[in-house]
Amino acid sequence: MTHTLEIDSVRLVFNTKVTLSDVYLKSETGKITGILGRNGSGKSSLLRIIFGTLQAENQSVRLNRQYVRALYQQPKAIHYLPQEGIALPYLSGHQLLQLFITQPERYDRMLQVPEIYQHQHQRFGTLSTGLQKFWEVMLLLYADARFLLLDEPFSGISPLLVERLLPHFQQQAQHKGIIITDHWYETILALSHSLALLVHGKTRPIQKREELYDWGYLSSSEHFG
Amino acid sequence: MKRPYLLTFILYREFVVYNLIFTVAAVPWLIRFGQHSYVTIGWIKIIGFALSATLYWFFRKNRLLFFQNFRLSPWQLLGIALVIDGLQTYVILLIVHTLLP
Repeated sequence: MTHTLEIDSVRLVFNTKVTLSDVYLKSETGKITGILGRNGSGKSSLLRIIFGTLQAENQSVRLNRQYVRALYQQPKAIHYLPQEGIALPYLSGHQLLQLFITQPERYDRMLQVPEIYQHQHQRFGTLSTGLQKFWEVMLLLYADARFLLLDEPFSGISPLLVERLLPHFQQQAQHKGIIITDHWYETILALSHSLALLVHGKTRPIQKREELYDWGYLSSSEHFG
Repeated sequence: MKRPYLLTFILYREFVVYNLIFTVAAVPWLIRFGQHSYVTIGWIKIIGFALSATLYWFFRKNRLLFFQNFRLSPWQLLGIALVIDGLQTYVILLIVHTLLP
């Protein structure tokens, strides 16, 4: 069964400045939806609105066509990884696995990943920033929720670790709907089944890479470089 | 450790353990004034809890997202912390009361 998550009618105002005003986004299980946008374009706010921890002036978040006020309170609905991470520093990797991974076969799969297996008995706070982010992304990819919101999951991770994450994205996206935003636009372009660009608080569906130049997200020097 | 126990341990460590200071601070009142100290102890606990909650909100607000990923809202966390802290205070003060001559 395919589950759908739709967001529209969002109006978010910060200090009289309209941050988000004309947003439409749809995610469904089995698909990765990428969001691109410049710094301050409202990507993180949009994810927090979807998750249910930020209330906008107006918003409509619908799970399987049913309006929900705080999506995070729905059973097995959603997980969210903000830029600053979520895991508590005093927990060990093993404890984090126990908390997030409820299905034994997924637990075993996680332990087959060298970066997980090697550091499972270490406290999370003692891992390097890159490994911490790697762990958090992996935990939420394999956790038992239908949707996953990832805010800049590749920031602070080495390119090698990003490469190691990509097959897990593709595999877990078969069961999950993933909404991802990051400045690693090449990776987002490669991963996403659909893409939206946030410009002036509005989402613009992107079909072709060239549209990113047209909307001013990428500069023309990169286009011809 | 099973998941619910682990989550309870984390909740205790995050939200209740610091309130032990205020419970301990209430013990001398109980020893000195006996049952006449209940109102004072109540106020110590209320002020202590409010102070801990405020400090958490200002300095560790980001950590709430960890719990929200387990479907726990800030109000639910506050309620759970209040219940656990209330029980803990009751048990500690009951023990002290029993040991009093």
